[in-house]
Amino acid sequence: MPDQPSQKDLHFRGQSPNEKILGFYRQHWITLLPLFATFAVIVVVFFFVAINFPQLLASHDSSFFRFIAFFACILLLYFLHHSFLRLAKHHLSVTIVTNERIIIIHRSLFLINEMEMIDLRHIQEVKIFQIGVMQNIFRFGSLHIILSTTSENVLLEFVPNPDFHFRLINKVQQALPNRTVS
Amino acid sequence: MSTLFYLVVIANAISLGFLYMNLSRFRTLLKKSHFEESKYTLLFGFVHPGIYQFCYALNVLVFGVFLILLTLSFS
Repeated sequence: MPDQPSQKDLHFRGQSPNEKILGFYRQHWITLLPLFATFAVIVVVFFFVAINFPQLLASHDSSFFRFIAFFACILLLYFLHHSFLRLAKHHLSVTIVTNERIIIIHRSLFLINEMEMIDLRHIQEVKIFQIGVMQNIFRFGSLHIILSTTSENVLLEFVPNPDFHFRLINKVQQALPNRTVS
Repeated sequence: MSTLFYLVVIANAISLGFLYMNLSRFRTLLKKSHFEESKYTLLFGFVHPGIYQFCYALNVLVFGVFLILLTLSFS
């Protein structure tokens, strides 16, 4: 029987040689909705001001108006950078389900680098919550993971397609060779 | 040239530096992880991270040019 290729660090840093990725997800896009809504409002206001700019300049004190226009543009520039940093954070923060564990990574470009690992053998129970119209229409929800070892539980929020991930964790856990959960 | 013009040029230089720093860091972090993306992992099911980077760079560059033109129109 030929040796299987090593999986070490193949998909993410810290992956062990026999660890296979069975699924992963990022938070549902609805978490970015406030950002997109703010962006849309700012763009509309910006175009409105830009179109009426000559009239505004004529009807207001020009030096004061210049200062306001400059300040508003700098704020908009800041918001552009902030939006991308938020998108990058959304893309880099992933939850990975492997055949051995669940890895929760929270990462931003410069400020945040958090990683949490849950051994599948220590999971006692998994609960799924999809409450409300929005969650059921847009297919997202929460997974509540109850651990057998500690009193602290893990809540995964804004999970896209939570049914699939619930079944996946359940299936992998059932397939584990020596489960310690009673 | 007015003081405002110099302020805008400095602000744009800082902004471009920040753009470069963010994009290079994002690309470095993307290289460290390889996943098979699906409609449940990409933004809105199809938006690739390359599109974020392109839109970000385009927005900052276009807005920077606009800001300089706006300042020049004052004088």
